[in-house]
Amino acid sequence: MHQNSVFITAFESACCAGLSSEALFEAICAHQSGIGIYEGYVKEKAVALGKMALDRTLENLLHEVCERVRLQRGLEDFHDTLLVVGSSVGGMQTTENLFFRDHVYSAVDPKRHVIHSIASSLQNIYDFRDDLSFSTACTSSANALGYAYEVIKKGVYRRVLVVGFDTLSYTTVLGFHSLGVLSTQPCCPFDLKREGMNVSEGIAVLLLEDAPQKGCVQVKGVGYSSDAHHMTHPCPDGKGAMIAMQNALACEGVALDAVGYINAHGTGTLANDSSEACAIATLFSNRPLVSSTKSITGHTLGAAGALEAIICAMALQKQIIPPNTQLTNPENQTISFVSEPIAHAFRYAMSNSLAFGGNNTSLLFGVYDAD
Amino acid sequence: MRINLEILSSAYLLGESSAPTPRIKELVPNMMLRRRLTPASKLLVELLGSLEEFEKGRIVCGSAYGELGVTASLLESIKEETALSPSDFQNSVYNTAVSYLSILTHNQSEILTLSSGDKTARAVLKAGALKALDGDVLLLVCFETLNMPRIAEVNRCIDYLESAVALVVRHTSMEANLRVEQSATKGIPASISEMLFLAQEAEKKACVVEVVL
Repeated sequence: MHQNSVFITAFESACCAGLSSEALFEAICAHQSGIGIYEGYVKEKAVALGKMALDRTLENLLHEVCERVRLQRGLEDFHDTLLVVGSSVGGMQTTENLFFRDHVYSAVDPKRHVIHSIASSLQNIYDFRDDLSFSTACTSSANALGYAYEVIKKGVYRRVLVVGFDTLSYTTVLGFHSLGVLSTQPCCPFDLKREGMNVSEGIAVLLLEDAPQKGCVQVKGVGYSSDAHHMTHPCPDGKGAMIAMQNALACEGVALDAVGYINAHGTGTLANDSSEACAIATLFSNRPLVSSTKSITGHTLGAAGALEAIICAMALQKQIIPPNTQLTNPENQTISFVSEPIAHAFRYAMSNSLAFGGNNTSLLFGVYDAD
Repeated sequence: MRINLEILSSAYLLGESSAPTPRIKELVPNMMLRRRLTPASKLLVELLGSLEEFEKGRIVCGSAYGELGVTASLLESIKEETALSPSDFQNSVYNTAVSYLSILTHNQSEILTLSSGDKTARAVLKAGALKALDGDVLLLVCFETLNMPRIAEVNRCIDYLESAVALVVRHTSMEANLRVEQSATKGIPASISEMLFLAQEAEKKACVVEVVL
């Protein structure tokens, strides 16, 4: 079976660290965290969250980010395009607003509550050829990207728009608080002093195609696995994450030692970071450069996979490794963590996404040489 | 692209309030583990117990609403300003049911959950067909567990509040004898309808279904 190559030909994002991808990458390299300290979510306690300061609704911002991608690529429309969405909460914020106001569900429109509400909203504007939505908690948009890679590779579609989108809802903030993993300060992934994660909102949109454009980045693989271990605790030895990374490399036969940078899932929780670090250290004897960018963006949950795919794409384009801010004393000393942005010649970048239920997805990206 | 899938095994469960899971004690003998299972997890365990030709492997799951009961419980707790149950929160994510299945069966394969509203069953079939091109046998499942307190405030058309359907499929070059249609059963969630149609047809005859991507 003939297999197509897959290219990221346009992308844009908006999150607490910047309302564009360029602003985001600059913020990461300048250690400017978008995370703030907020009261009012958790009773009698301030917590650190990633909230965007906006003069419009998040739905309007989502439309604007998609429009920026369309214009960046110079497309007239998305009529021949498949839309693949990844989100963990969908329209939960809308449901919460109505339920907390009325104390009954009568005003809740099921079609505005579901994960599919995001695709519906975009379909109303763009009339995509078809759409699918993934909801696998924090791997949602990584799985959406994986699916986009597969449909193009297998020749089903020539063009796919991937959207990662999640809003800040009381359910997720208080839910993570109930698990005891919310940080009161901007998180410090992989550091010995880390105390937890920051829930954030975010939008990340990538256009994937079967033909290259100038300066584009290639998608070189996706790897999936399940821990089959515990609903919220990753396997301590990182076996599941390791299988996902191996599967991503196997897709197009990229060698382990060719990977120059790993954008880790790195949430800042005790369990995630030690397990993921163990997986990376065990698998990569060549010690690629590693960082988590969540101390700047927070954890955008279902949008994180797509947002961090954009960070990887920009790192490859600029040949700059984004730093792991707030990392002063790494728990795992065998990994080459990057605490300052560095210029570095490298061809492949990997992005890990790990979720509740032991759902693991690794994406592999590569520099595209036009000749 | 058109992809033909051979349906190797199928099963479904429908319940007006709760769907019957008569073998759950036998299938999950560990009581502590059984008590942790969500309604949807129990339905999927029960279905897997009655399927042939699938023990472990890739799973594509679909649900428009996820575990609605725990979602409602979280909303009630927030409204009442009481502490959220960590179990409810971990169980509120859409991939909970298949994740429990992976834990119970030690299945380390790729497991995905789709949520495409009323088009969820068709989305599961499309994603399953795409994956089946790789040559392995896949489990496709759809579920809805809508049996929460006060569901009548929003439910106007669904009679079966718990429903789940499973198909074991593989890609085939055999000619299709079936196209994807809505089930004739009234009062089921639209999000499972097309999967249910195929399971009901597979009860009557050997089926090869054509999935159009």
